[in-house]
Amino acid sequence: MELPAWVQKEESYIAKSKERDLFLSRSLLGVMSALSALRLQAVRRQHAKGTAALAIAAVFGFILAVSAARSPWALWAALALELPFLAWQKPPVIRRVLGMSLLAAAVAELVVLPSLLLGQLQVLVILPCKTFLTVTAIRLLTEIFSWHELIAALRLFRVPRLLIFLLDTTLRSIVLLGDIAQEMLLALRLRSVGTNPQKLSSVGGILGVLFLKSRKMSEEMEQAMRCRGW
Amino acid sequence: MHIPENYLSPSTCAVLGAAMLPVWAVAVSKAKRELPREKLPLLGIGAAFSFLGMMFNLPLPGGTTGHAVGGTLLAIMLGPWTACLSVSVALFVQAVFFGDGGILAFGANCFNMAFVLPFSGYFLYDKLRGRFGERVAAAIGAYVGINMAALFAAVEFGIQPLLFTDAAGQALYCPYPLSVSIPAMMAGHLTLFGLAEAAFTVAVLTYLQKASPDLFAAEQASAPHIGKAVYGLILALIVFTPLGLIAEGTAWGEWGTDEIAETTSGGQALGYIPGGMENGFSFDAMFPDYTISGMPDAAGYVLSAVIGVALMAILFKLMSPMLHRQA
Repeated sequence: MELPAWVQKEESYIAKSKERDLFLSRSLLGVMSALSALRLQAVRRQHAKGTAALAIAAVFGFILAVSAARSPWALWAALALELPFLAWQKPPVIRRVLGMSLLAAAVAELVVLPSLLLGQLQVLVILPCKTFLTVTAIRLLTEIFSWHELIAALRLFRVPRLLIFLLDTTLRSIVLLGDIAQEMLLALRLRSVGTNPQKLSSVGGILGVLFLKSRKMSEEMEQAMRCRGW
Repeated sequence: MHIPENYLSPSTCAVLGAAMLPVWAVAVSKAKRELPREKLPLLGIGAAFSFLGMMFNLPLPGGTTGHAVGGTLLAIMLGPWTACLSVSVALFVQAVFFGDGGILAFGANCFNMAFVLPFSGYFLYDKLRGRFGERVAAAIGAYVGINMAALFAAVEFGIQPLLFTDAAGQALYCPYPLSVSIPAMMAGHLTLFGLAEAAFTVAVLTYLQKASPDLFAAEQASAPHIGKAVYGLILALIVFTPLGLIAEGTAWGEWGTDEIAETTSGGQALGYIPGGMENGFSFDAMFPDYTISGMPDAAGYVLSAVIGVALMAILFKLMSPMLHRQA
């Protein structure tokens, strides 16, 4: 059997440099982690009516108190209030909460580190501690209650209906649109060979398609709402 | 640019939140009045788009990546009021579910990124598009918009040490004065993040113009405003003024110990040499009143006990899977 000429020709492709498609993997990672966090958030046990609203108010008050606190003693008291709640949770929950709050505290420490030169020594200790306390509180809230419950609870605080509708639609469509974005990013990643000289237009394409899809989705949602007598 | 919790005083947060209330009220009523009913879901889905847009990393020169807020793009596509609502909701989801930006600082973050950014970006875009064309105007709008937002954030940070210090003159919240916070914020935004925002806006707009030109047909019908670009230039100049501040005085962080005492912050000389610098790094100096001895004994015991027990429980729970695996 005779091989066609183009097959016999020697391949002369040399990858010029290491391709930096970091933006693709990073975007993919960002979207995926956001999606998995929201999915995890959605499936939670039901709580008695009103608990969520109470918890929101308590956490808000706690954050306000921590933020306004000036003495180290108040921070110790806040820690003593918070840690038992954390200790009550299951290990994976504790790991997730602590992972985020310790990271946040470390970042805060890094940010205030240069203030050593300004002679602002207290801030070096207080700010990361406060960050740890507030992030832990808010993470605990979202770990214990699902976002359905949290949004429903906002009604009790007289948040306008439109905003609640908006919030609910947003969370739902983040998951739906995020899936589409994830598929497109993955498809682009699989089809990428060699150097991509027009990275920006690739990103523009994905986000553009995403925007068009979101418009279509909103039309479909409106039709569905009308069909159900909205 | 997401301001975390505790960097701004609660009162600053309250002021900025109060400033956002009328903006939100107007935005909601505008959305109710002007948006046709069939476009109402677009608000929420626009917010979802904005949230996902912030997750995207853009390729930047030098192999780095950066992410954009996309406020100007949303303002161009949906109108500034709708963009304000959408970005606010996206910021809310980020603050509550992802710990990105503080809860108390939510008003401040919205003020910067959902109000200042889309409105200044859209204003410039609207004024310039007649003269420079859609894409250039959008790029300028996006660039100036994000820098305006960064400038506001920097000012919010910078006024903290002026307003809130304890009796010993130690900052209670963000420790950096304006002379530090403005250059620190603007250096990144005038270069990398501004570029990312402009690139993001233009890339998506370019695609949409190609893929779905009918989106723009309706907007093109309105008369372009030429000649009012002067306002835009003034706005841009305001944004660029911090560049002058960077050039002024000793570079921040490069003082000697004797210089630190004379360092002025907010018109007032620091007047003391930080203990930690004078005596070298020592923990005693770092924790002047961080000993629990300052609180009543009994309360101290109780608190320590609660914290200790909770810590033990947490450690045990985290350790137990590992122990099981070994067994």
